[in-house]
Amino acid sequence: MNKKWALITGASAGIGAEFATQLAAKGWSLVLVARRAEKLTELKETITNQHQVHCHDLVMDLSDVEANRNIFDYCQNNDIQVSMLINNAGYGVPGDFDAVEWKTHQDMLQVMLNSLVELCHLFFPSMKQAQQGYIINVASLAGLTPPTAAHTLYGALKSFVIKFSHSLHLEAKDFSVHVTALCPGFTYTEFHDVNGTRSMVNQMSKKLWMSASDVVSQGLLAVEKNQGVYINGWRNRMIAGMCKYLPEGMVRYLMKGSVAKFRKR
Amino acid sequence: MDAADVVSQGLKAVENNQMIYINGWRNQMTVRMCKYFPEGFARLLIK
Repeated sequence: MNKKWALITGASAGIGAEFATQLAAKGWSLVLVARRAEKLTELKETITNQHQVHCHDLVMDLSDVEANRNIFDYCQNNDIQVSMLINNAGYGVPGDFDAVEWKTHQDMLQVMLNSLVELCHLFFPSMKQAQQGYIINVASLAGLTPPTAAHTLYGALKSFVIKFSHSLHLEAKDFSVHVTALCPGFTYTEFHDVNGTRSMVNQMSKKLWMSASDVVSQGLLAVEKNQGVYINGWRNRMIAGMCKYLPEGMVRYLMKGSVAKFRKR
Repeated sequence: MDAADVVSQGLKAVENNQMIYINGWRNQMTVRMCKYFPEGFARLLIK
């Protein structure tokens, strides 16, 4: 049995579950981390039935400040040398900044910022020492487009993930550790069902949507090629390019109509 | 730049409700360069 280990957060559904499935098919053993025990067990069973790989499921809430250390200790205690870290856990919180309770913001910051950085900090040194490793931080096209009213933290956090990953990518490349910020646009997952914007985003053109399977296969190829930032899909790359090169006021004006379709206030 | 200039410009910027204000024309030029030049080229110049 192959002993290359990948650790995936937010593994129970969507892009995380797709990473698990595709990596298992490539022979990677897995440590799957998520909050929802039932979904995680179901995924673990599916994977171990279909592929000859080891699979550990860790039910953890990353908003708990102890979670990252517990994950790391679990790997150490079970002699699991993580060669690929996929920081995928994340969610959106609709509404205006002050209309959302501080605890909700605090948890979001812990899951999508502190936890991501801490897991990199915990697992990067051993990858550096082994002169081999892969880190994929799942960001978003939202981190490359101008900010919008409502969903106040989401774009800001994703911008952070892109900038942080790019810096780490530059630091890591001398040690054969590949770091990539993956920036998908609209992806068919339960993301919008969970944050209650499904009916709104369904008004978006179908051409803007990608399957989780495509997002993940492109992401794995990008980290293999050691691309610092990878934007999924030519349409999303065009949007990101437009946001970079056109004056910000013009981009915001152009986006105004479409943003109202998916930013719930 | 000295802190006094940074602060006075900052106070004026918030008075004018400017979303982002970059202090000093040299810094403004650096940011524009980073925005419009290819990233690899900008990194080379900053290096």
